[in-house]
Amino acid sequence: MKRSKIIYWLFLAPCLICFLGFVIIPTIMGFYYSLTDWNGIRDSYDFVGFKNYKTAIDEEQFWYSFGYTALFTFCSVILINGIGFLLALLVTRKFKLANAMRGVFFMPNLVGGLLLGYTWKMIFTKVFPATGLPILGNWLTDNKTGFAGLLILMVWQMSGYMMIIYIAGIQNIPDSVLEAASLDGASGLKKMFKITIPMVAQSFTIGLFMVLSNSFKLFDQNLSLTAGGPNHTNEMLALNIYNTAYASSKFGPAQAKAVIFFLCIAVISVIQLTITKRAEVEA
Amino acid sequence: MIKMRKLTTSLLIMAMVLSMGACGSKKEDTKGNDSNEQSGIESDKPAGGRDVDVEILQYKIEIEEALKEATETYMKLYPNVHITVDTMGGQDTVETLYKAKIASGEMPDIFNCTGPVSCKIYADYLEDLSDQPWVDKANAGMLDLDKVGDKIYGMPVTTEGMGLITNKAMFEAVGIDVSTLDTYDKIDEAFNTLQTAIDKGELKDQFPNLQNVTAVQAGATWVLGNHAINVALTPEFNGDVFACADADEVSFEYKQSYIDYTNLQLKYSAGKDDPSKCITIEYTDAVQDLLANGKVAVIQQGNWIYNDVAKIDQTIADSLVYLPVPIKGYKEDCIFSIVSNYWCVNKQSDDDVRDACKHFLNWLYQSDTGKNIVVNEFGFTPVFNNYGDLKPSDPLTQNMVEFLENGKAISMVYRGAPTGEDYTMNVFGANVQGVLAGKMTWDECFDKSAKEWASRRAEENKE
Repeated sequence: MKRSKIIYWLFLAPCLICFLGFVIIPTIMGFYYSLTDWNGIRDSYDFVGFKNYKTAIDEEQFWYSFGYTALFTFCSVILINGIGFLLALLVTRKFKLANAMRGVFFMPNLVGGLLLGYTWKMIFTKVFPATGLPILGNWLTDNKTGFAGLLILMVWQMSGYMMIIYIAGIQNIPDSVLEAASLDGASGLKKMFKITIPMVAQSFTIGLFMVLSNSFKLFDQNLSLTAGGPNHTNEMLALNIYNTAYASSKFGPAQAKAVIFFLCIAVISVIQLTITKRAEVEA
Repeated sequence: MIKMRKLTTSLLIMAMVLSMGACGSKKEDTKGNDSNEQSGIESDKPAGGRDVDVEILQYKIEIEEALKEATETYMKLYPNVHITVDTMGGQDTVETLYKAKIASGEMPDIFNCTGPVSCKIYADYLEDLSDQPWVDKANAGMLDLDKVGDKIYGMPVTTEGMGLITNKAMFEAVGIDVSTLDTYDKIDEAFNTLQTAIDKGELKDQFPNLQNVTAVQAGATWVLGNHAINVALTPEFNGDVFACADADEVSFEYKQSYIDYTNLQLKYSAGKDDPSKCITIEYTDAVQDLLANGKVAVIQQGNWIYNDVAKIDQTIADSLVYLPVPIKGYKEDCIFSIVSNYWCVNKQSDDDVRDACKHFLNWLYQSDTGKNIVVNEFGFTPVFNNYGDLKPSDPLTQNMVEFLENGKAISMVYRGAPTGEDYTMNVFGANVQGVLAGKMTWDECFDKSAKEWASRRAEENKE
């Protein structure tokens, strides 16, 4: 092997070993456990083939959680990116408080997910009823208000983060292009749709992807806000898998669900990336 | 541009792999449980004088500090043993942690495992404690839950009582002596009298915070499931947890009693018009906010809440007493009692460590210093017959002991449900939540729960 090649692999080694040890091997082991009847405690277990996958697919709650999570992801992708983009447009205008506002909008993202869940739970169940408005009186007690509550929480938390990504995108647009458009007589709105949005398409690729995968995998906030209750009607997929593994001691089926879950996220993410990448343009 | 692409690719990879929950490795070596017969329980040298580390992971958050102090006292006496105590609030939480610890091969040396179903699950980790000196000193029935065949696998932590914990001062204010309330109808009438007085504003001066007689903690599935479910199960299995653990099916023949019992509390709570309002009330809300601040007079709980209430309002804590849980068609004048959990020793720990664990437990519950700690520092009710004059110190626990001594206590049997707490909380408790949220009828709730019982039991028996 050439010397340069050895050095190349040497530099790569720490990262590669970590990646192998903490990611690839556990993934393979996880897949292996999905084919066994291990309960997470006993020392012995048997190989049961694809039985766990059937158990997972036959479970009503799994599909309910799946649908709930998919709908949640759809809503949050649109809302978080939309609001994040609008915030970015706002704070890239030149006005006095622009920098301060960037900080304020980003701040919720610094708070941990569990803590946020408990904070918002207090807001929904103590502060909302205190307003005396009937529509705010009874939150988190069914799947509608539970869903809305989780969505509000996530939008509040993640919009600021997306804003930062879009700010970077917007600032990368060369002034010359915008100026040329202005000279050609393009109005503000026209500039927005013909210049700004296509030029930040790369940011949209990242933004959509991040929100998509984050919402699909959402766990902390779900656990601390409603813990899936009442009667599992607010239970998202990750929480459902966790409960199957830890509350029900069914590691096999839980692992099978995780594999199905993983494949779905992978497929959806790849589709999304392919589509949005096509929309990207270069200056 | 290329940078961006690389970034997206690596993000994608990260997301893909993080979404896969992976469980770690398991312990391969099952250390023999037959090689420890020489363990010197009677000798006063734990672990033969060799240095050992013992790890305790338990869930009774109320005794966390006192247990730490107890271990320090012990370590001064036996300096070769080093004990660390970890406490994780909530039984379901600690079980999750046990499973995670097992997955990483770090199961603690002393842990909690309670009831026939759990004993089956943790069988590989349960050390046989039948030869321990405290075994024949235990009060009748106290060892039963962790007995498999004729082997004893757990040392009873304490016995506790569940009932309607009542602020008697509030009832006295409307001229009712709660100790006379021993039927469903009497309790119902008393609640009604108090609620009427509250609604008329007659108690405004004396109890300015008081809003409702009761609160239903529908946010806590263990309150609806683990505890209240006994209202339906105990009569059906006549208080025998093993009959419950053997039952292939459950008929819920006392379901009407459960419904009546729930309605008794619901009728006089903030959720009387809309039960879904109760869904967000958790254990801590009920105990520390509603009861301890005098906003309600009655909640379903047990003697374990005394310290939490006392921290907020000593006067209220001292006027707490038990009202019986009235089960229509069965017994209406009894509270529920149970050995809430057991100390177990990890069979897979080293011989010396196991020896030290047993020595420590024996010291804690059988030496004079230990007994004093258990009763006065932990606030536990003695479960052994050699505690002499030591009596629990707080009035609520004393009141519970009165019920026990008068034979006015029945056993909880929920530990016998298939898959244990997972059934009582996540199936039954969750279904009751469904009813309160208005998404299910009571009949659907019990039918669904009965069906799930049968299918889970069948699966259990297959193994």
